[in-house]
Amino acid sequence: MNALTRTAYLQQEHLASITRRHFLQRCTTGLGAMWLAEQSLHAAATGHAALPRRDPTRPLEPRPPHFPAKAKHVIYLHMAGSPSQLELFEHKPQLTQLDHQFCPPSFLEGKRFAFIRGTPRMLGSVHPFHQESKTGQWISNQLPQFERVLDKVCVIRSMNTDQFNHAPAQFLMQTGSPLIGSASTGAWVTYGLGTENQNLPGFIVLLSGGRMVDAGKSVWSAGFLPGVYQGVQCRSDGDPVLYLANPAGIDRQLRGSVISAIEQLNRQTHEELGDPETLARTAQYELAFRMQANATDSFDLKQEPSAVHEAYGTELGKESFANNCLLARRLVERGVRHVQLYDWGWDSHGAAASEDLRDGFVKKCRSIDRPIAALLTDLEERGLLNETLVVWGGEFGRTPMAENRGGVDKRVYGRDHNPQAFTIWMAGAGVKRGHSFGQTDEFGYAVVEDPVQPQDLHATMLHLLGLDHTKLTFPVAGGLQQRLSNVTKQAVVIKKVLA
Amino acid sequence: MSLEARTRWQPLHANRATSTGQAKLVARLSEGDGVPEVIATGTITLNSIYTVDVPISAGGVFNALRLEVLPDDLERAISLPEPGFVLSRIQVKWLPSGDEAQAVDIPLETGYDEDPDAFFEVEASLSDDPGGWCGYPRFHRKRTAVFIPTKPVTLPAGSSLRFVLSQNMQSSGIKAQAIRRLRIAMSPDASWTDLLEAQSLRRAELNTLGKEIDRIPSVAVPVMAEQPLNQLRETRVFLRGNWLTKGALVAPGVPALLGPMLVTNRLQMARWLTSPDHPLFARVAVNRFWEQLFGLGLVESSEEFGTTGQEPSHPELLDWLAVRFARELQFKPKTLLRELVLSATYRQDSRVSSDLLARDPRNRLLARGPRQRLTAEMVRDQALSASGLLSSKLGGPPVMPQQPEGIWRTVYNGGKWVTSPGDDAYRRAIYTFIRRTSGYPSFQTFDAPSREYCTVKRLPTNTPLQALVTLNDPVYLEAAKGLATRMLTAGNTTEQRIARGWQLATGRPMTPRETSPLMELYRQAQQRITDDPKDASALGQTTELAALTVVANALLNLDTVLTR
Repeated sequence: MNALTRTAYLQQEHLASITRRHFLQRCTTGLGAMWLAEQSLHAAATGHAALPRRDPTRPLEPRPPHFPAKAKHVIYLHMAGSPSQLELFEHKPQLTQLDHQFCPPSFLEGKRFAFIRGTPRMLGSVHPFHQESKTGQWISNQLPQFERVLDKVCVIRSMNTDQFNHAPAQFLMQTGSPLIGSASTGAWVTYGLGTENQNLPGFIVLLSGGRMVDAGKSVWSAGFLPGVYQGVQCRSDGDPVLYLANPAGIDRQLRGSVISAIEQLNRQTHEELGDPETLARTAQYELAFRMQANATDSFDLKQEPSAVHEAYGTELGKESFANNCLLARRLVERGVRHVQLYDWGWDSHGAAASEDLRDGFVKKCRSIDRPIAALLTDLEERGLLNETLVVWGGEFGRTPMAENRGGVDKRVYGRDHNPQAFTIWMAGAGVKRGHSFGQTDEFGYAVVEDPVQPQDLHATMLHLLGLDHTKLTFPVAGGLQQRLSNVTKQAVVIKKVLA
Repeated sequence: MSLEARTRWQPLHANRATSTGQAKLVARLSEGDGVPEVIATGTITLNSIYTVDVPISAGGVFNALRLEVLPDDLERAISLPEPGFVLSRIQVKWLPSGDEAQAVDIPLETGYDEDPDAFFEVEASLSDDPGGWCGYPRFHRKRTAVFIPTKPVTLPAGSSLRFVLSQNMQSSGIKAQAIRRLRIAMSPDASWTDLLEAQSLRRAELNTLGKEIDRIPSVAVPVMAEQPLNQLRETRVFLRGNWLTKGALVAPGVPALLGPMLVTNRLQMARWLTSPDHPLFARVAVNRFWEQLFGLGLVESSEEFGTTGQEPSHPELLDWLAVRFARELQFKPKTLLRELVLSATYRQDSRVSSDLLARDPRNRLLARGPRQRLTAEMVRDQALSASGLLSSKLGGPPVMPQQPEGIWRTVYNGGKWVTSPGDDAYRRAIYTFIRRTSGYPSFQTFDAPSREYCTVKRLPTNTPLQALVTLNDPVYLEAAKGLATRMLTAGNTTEQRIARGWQLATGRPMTPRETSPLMELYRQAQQRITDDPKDASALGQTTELAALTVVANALLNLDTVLTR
């Protein structure tokens, strides 16, 4: 597909080089023609007035949305492995009544599971539920801090997907396609809107939980979009951006001298050869020099007062979800467009204590409860929540049946993957507050009302950012205008969750 | 016809079948062919041991026992293989009466599998060794094994046989690897016992031959081969691309729209594709070589020569090159590349006037020489080469050059990134260990593909993150130090040393105009290091070497160095 994408691109480039010679005179890279081609094609295909042209030397410069936006930034908290909705948001008394009984055959007919074999037993929620006072929504006792900000979020209980293994399901949630190679949400968002702070990457990825997301780095790749839109993986310990720090012995002043020498020599090269790409390269060195200062500063959590650390539960120098939440706030504050967090360790199969709903799961809940509550409160206090869209969720749900891997009833409790129903929530810019959307059946097994597919979520996210998901497109495979919400699906904006 | 197929088998009907754990065994007559069989239902527990009792009503002798394991649904299994089984251990006992205390072990000498498995051997089922007869980890057709007792066994009428089948294997995703549908038969055919004798003679011969084979030097690289005919899997159309919804059976061939062609296998396909008469092959090939050298192909869409591809910019040149490559050069890439780089077109100056730039910004008309940024791999190799660090070692397993902590993460296997010792950390970029889910960071920054798709060409970008790699990545700092060390030995004056560095980095002599910014940088570095010598030793032991390292760091970041 990549190869074909490029073909399509190059074809249009060819066209553009004939028709828009004037503009090309100002282009400094080959990419320039491509931007233009995409623009002219976009305008022709949609019949809309073309958006401002892209400056090829500044691919990430801010761009206006298609229509007035509610959200300017995204913070996406992906819980890799998929947390159990039945231990957090989905109160199902009827499931509790069936606890430990063999699963009715009707639940198993025609279904495929990742690990369940034969006839499993039903598993009632292992944690008690109660009604939260302000919203009246049922919630378990595992997120006591988050419960206090439940009135800020819109819980979507009717998510469903067609993928039941982690990697393809993560790809679907993050890129709109279960196959490797499509562009991630963050890449689309920065492609559509650029980013406000040119001294920081526009799409930043932060990891916690100790392991890589199952789908690997491709889950934040630019896919078929140009490589500049791929997520930049930053670390909460060490250099936040790779190779940001100068090596020992070269301080900022000396680095400045090095870059100045490079600049002078590059200028000579340009005078001699006249290749505009040389000037563009020099500009990137200057940008890198500024990024060194800005990114270091953005990632310096020591600058935060102790009250903030207290609220988030951050620990300096550690890789943690709490640190990443605080970093996300700092980055959004500085104009980063899309901050993507991945927290690994939510795959509660019950094959080990770390996957036990009463043990590992509880610890995971504790590690996100306070930071998320602090993040939402902090964003609101700073006036950022009304321009930042926060999304939380996994890649699928978990079964109302207990897992019986190897045909043995486990000493520890876990649930298998359930693509038919799961819960996510959104908060912030343009999203209803204290709202609950969608319904599942009495066991939380399948959606019965207002189903939401990943591509609907994508369409809705883009809508909040002022982008029409059918118009933010990119040519792939012989001219097909692909989009985040995937042309093979009927994606709709979920209007009922919009404020 | 195999001995197994020639043999007349007598199916055995179990009157009792039990399992440890949660599985339930049921003896029944198959609905389809009426053959007696035992099926396992319910949840099959790991390490299940099945006990199957078979009454011997008529009495007689048996020389061989046949076990068949079938998928639940033979037809469906062909397209969607079922969970497999591993028979870890088979024990056969003779029960003269109902009294279990009188059970007598029947020793089995050997076993045959109709198509030996790559993982496990059938003979492992006769002992507690790991493995055993299997369809592992999934299987899609009936599997057959024959076990032969050490000597023929006489069974009086009214007694019974007991089969104890242990299954200890599990696999990821499927878990219990256990038999779900079993048929047992026996035969009084003496040919099986005769086999034993033949086999013991053969064994000695095989051992000798095996040792001789071992003495022949070879490589430990598996060679792809086609499956034997009887093991070929069916290939079906995936309806709407869904691998779970299978459509019509398909056979190897070429799309019908290409017209009738005698291509039915890969070898024929390869020969057809690369035939000197093929109008496309040589064109596509020369275009790709051209693209490697000039940055753009004569046909820009180098991955697409079809109807959605582009017209060549110089059609006659493309034709001429294609014919020459196929006929005179006999597809020898090196000769072709030599011709291309020695051509007047390639050897043009890449200098461009603003007028020409305006008329032909992307050099489609080839009025100037090509100029492009190096690829990710070249950026690294060039820096290592200029510094004298590059290892010229060829071949061998991939290596792990330096990369920062915390970036390499694997999803499931806990693999670690351990920097290769010695020279191996400085091998050419193509030897770098690559995992699609966690690529080598500095290559990715310089537009190396993530290898999710075959990529004919890369779109070069120009980002600040690239500058950070070549300025600060420890690999490039080491290269700068190496280059500085070479510069130091080049002459007595700083200017001579810097000129040497320039020559090594750019491949051409330094002009006086280029000297001054670098001399100035050298003086500034020297000053910084003298003022604050704290960390300067990281750049070099002496002030001179440290300051030259700073200059080398700048050299390796020049546009003229990163561009060819």
